[in-house]
Amino acid sequence: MKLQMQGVSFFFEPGFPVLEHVDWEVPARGSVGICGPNGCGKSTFLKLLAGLLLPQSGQVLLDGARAGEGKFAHSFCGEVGYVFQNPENQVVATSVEEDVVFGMENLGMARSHMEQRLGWVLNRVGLSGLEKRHPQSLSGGQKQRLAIASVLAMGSQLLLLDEPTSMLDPQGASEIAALFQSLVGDGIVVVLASHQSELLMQMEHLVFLDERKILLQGSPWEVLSQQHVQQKVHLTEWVRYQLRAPEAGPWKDRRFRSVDEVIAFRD
Amino acid sequence: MIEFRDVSLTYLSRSPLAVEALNGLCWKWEKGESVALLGTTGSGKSTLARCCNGLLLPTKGKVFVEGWDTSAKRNGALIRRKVGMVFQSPERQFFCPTCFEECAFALQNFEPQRNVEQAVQQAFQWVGLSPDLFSRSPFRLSGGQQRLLAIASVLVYGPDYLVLDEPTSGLDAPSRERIFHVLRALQANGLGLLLVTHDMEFLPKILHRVIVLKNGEMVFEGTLDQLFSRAREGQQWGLAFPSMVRYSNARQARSST
Repeated sequence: MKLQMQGVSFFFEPGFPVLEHVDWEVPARGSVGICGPNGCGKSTFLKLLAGLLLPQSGQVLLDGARAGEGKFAHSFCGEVGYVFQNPENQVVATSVEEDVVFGMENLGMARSHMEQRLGWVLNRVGLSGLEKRHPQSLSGGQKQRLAIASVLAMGSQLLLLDEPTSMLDPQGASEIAALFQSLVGDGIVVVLASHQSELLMQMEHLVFLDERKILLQGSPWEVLSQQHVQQKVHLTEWVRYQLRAPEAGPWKDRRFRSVDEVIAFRD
Repeated sequence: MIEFRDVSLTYLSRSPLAVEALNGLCWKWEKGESVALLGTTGSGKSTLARCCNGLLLPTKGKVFVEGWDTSAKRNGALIRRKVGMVFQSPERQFFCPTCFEECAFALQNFEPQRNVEQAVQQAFQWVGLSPDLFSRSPFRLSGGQQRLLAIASVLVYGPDYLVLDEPTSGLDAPSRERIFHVLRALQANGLGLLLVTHDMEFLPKILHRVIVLKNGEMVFEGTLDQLFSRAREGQQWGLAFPSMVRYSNARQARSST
């Protein structure tokens, strides 16, 4: 799958551009973090990639087909999955299984195929056994996993997620971060926008948006080491510690380590 | 002072779906005191916060705001004026077409005769928002500006206590810094602050006290240092201490063995 932006410019109000002349292509595999200050256009960037918004100039192409035309008139739904910041906004049914099936029904999938995918996807996100539960009775992390399951069930190989952990407690956030790692291992491409530096450091590639364009991209280490990025993106003390002392710990290969990894390493 | 006396609250009580959110809670929050309220999702944090200004009423026990019973209907307006609330997603509390009207709305409700322009200007100044934004739609602001507008919309009517639900979630570094300075200034002016948050790195700078809820019960009350020294219990309560604190604790534990 090849998803690309070519010369994309977008505004909500004339005279106030959000993005200008952006060219970018989603990598064929791995994980990407989109970061930048509030109002830099991270959510807009993701919605343009999903075909949910259409640029005033330039184009967004999925395998050569243009967003807003033909079968992609409304979005790239079915090919590219989009998960909103607050899972509550995405949960529509009264049971977990109905919620997952909803999107597949809309795509007109056969019943036998839906049943097969339902079992697979709930197992994949760790919600097996909760099929009959009301979504509102789930924890925050489980709701977010349900939202991701509903998108995966539609066959999306590319997931776009807007601040996927910002509404979650630390337990829920770490469940979701672990799920991303395992989905990437299965060949699903994950692109997420976040302010949370420890999540961003776990991505393979970072894109820093500011001043209406992509100002910088590269490995998390390269991007978050830059002083002008640090002025805009909040880094936890743990991230700062590793960036400050690259030779002092198990991160000397310049790959971020979670505190659990480091404690286990020392033990 | 806001006082919780043996407060229990059950959602959908007398139904098979009943959920006990608070269970026999006794707690006092003094004016001018800054308190953090911690706990996992479902621990009762938001329920406790909403009880502070009568948005939710206990099913058992009483909440008093400076002696006024929140469950007495006649006290409602007075209590809401004393205790302001800023929700986690500011865009969910906006409904006016412009930032000026949004900020003026509550004040106009409390004091219909008052000229609100000066008060709105003052509130914008407190939080560092430019008057150039008066005519802009609140939905066209950045996340940080929306959070500041939500705070201004409450400060405009002069509450004595302010409850903030996740004041830093989804904010960039400059916006966090701005929120921090605003809270410091409010603290210096004697406002009581209750921060419902998971962001423990933001806490040490402005806190007097931390309380932790689990399953609707208060399991800890003390300073942040006291909390951080109780790593094992912290884990049982579902708290994730900042990575740097966990790292220091692990190093200390290793050196003492």
